[in-house]
Amino acid sequence: MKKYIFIFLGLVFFYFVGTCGDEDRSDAPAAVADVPEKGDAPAGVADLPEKRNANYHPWTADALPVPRNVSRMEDANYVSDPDGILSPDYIDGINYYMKLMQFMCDARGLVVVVKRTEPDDPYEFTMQVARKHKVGGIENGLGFVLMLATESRSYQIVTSTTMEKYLTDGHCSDIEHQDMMPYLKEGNWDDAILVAVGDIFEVLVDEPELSKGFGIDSLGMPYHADERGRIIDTGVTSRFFSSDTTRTNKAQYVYDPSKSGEDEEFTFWDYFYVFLFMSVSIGIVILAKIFGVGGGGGGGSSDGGWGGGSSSSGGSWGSSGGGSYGGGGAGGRF
Amino acid sequence: MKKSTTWIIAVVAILCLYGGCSYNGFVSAEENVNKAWADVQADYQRRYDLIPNIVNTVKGYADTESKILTDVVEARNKATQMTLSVDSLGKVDEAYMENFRKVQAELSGSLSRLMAITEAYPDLKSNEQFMKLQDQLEGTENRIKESRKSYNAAVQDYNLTIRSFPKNILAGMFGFNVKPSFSADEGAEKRVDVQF
Repeated sequence: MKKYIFIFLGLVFFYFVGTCGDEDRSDAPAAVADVPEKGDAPAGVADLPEKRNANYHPWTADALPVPRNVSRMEDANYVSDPDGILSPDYIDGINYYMKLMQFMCDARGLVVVVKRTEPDDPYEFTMQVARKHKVGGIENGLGFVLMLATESRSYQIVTSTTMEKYLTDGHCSDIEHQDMMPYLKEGNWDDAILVAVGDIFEVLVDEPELSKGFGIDSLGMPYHADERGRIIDTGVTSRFFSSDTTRTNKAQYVYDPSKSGEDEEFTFWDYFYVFLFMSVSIGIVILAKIFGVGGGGGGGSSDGGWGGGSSSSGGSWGSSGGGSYGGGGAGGRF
Repeated sequence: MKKSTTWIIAVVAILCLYGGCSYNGFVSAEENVNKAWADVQADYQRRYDLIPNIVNTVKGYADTESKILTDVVEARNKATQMTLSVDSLGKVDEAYMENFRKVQAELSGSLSRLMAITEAYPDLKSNEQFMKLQDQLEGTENRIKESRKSYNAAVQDYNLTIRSFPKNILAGMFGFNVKPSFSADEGAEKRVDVQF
């Protein structure tokens, strides 16, 4: 009888301890899937839903296909163009700038080009996309989303809170009004997006704090130079194009909506609760031994409310990026 | 030691541990609310700082619109006087929050009227500085919207934590009270009729 009382007390205690603290942990996302191996479906946008062409439905943030995560920079894709609006050559050019931004400044971006969005408001849609996928570097949170809806004739750039310091609302406005607008009025979507991404790249590279000596030469190849312009790292170009090359170990090139969710990180209190849990369970076992109950205690589910959180491990990018969005950027209609 | 005493000690220890865990949860939730409120204040302050520049720019082109310019300045001054510090947030009731919301809505309304009159001044509209200020104001309004959403989410989480049983018993003992959230502006639920 005493054995069962101890077990019951242990279960009750574990339930209360497990449910205290951060309640959000009960919604922790499922375990992370592996990074796709070579030979899987090619990196890039998911297959175009041909059935949508018949009865076109505006894209929502949830339905928008976002490029898959990959482990090799040469396969990375930063453009979501489910309606096939952009030309492949221009997509390559856009991706090149994006890769340079990631390589040199650890800034992650996402370009979305669709016909129409749901909601129709460009700001709302772009913010939903940015927040859903938390577009941005894991370590520094630098991220942006550039959206163009051709039939809605709307555009928007949203920046993460850390990116706002460098890519200000004024920059975004200038890029849109001065550089993008002439192409948008002509219906030249390719050049509009390419010039915008190029401008964003120039803004970031001109920030010494971000570029840290990295630059590109007249051929568009990256280099790493000191304050006097002397090349200090001759292997930069080859590293940029090689298979496993990033400036951070936690590589995250693109974003998979099936993997997005709250980024669960263990804090001090999580470790404290685990220590408390183990101490109490050992104490109950000792008490049970003292009273001659023998065994018991320590039962119950260990999933009390903090299990299952996906944390990004090296090389895996299971949780989404580190960008948090507070409303920065600019947009409008043309 | 008697077994009954041991049982009592064990139960008391368990209750103390549970209380400690709950208190930490309350503190964590309250700090999230405080941080969210600080972000809201920062975004509102950003708007207050923009307004004098906008007024001065418009004054240079639309000096005759003095009434609207004066309304904007007065609404801004009134809004900045409505300080709602983090410390007082716990003591503020729904009425005070409602008053705060009204003052901000009044400022937003006067700003909207100011922006509307600029349509009658093409030179002002094409002024580069004014365009930049307009963009910054739009960005600021977006930031305010997002920070209010975050604040409401933090308040919801906090209120849920302190009102759930059995934690509501401990919350009352520790002095954690329900916090107010932002509500929609008056008339927001009404349909807007557009006439050309």
